[in-house]
Amino acid sequence: MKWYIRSVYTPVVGERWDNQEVFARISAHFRSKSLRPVEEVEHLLALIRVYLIGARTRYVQCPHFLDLRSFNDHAVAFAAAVNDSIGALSKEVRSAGSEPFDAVIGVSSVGQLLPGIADRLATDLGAQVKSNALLLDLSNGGCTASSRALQLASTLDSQHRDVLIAVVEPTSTLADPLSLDRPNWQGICTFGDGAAGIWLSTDPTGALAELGPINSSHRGDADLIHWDISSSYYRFSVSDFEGFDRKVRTGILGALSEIDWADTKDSLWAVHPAGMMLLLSVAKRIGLDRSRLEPSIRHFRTFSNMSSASILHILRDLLEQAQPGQPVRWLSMGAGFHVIYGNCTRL
Amino acid sequence: MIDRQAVLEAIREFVAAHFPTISVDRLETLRAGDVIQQSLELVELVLHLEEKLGIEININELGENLVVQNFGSLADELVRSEGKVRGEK
Repeated sequence: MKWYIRSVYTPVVGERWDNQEVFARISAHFRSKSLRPVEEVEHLLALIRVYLIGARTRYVQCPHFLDLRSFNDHAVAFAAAVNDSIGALSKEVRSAGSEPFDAVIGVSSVGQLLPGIADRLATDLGAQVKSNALLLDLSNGGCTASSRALQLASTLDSQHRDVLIAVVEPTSTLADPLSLDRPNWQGICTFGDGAAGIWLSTDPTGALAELGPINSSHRGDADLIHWDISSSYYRFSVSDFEGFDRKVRTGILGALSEIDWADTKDSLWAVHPAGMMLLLSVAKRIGLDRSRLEPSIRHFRTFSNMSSASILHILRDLLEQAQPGQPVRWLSMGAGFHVIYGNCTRL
Repeated sequence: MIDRQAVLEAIREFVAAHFPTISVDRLETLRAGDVIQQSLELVELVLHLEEKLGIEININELGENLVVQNFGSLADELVRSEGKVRGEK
């Protein structure tokens, strides 16, 4: 059965902050809290400056993330951000119009404290979702969560003709502001908040693209990216902080050696913007020159790493600029360690 | 083991190509953070060093040294960390 991308939804959620604002707020936060030991804090701030060097912005759904202290604070912030994203997504889906959806899959890279993300979106969309639709939440999918959902949706049988995937990534709600744990701050500085959606259909009428096979590989290093448990919540962490870049690059290249992937000179590429270093170094090693990476770099500079929402934002940009018949490929990577390669052809 | 002078030569080449207005006469005393203001340039420096020296560099490992130390200390750090990596293999 063939699947088509009918529409990609990319609402912008949250407040726009640039690197300088993030750094100023974090510096002020550290100083106001008089965190100890002082020398460690100063070193951490210098590292944060490395992560926040240059012109880059992100959108923040939880502007008070440096004040999160309790499980209740985090959970309330998560619920508010997800509801905000659901509202933004449903507004865009309603305004674009669609066939009635047979399935809605709610997706996030993080755990979903708010039950029924798919149900809430379906309720918002009213008659645009069939009353007997499959409603499913897919959580803790890491930065490949949206690609995992695409992989899953493309295996559904003919009972499901129109599938809506809704991605919510309120990454700022994970921040552990009192921790001096370096991966925690690596996450805070790299991530931005975001939402996205995609309508897959078996009907090509008005479709943007025909979906090709989606291939994945997991590398057997589930702890490379994981959650650390703080006193009140969980936070982003990695198992080998100093060797992280090296392990991720090795993991991606190893996965690609197992995945049936291809490149042609005319194809457009979306690469998950895990960070500028990973983006550039991985692209270089798989032979993508700078010009073909530009859409992913542009996305990262504006939105930072919106976890699994990012790849759909870049994909939409590429589908808007692609010519009929032009291939569009994407590569996402994240916790697992998990790599997904997908491709589609602009109609 | 990578050679300190080779690291400095690779840095000199990068700075001369990307920041032609900056004198590289006293390269070792220049602070990387004063020269590099953009993340793309920082990453390009790292990729340049990887290519020239045939090593893999981890930004997390070099950490804050990337912006707070001068190029001389950065070269020392790279030599030290590469020696450590080779020792681990």
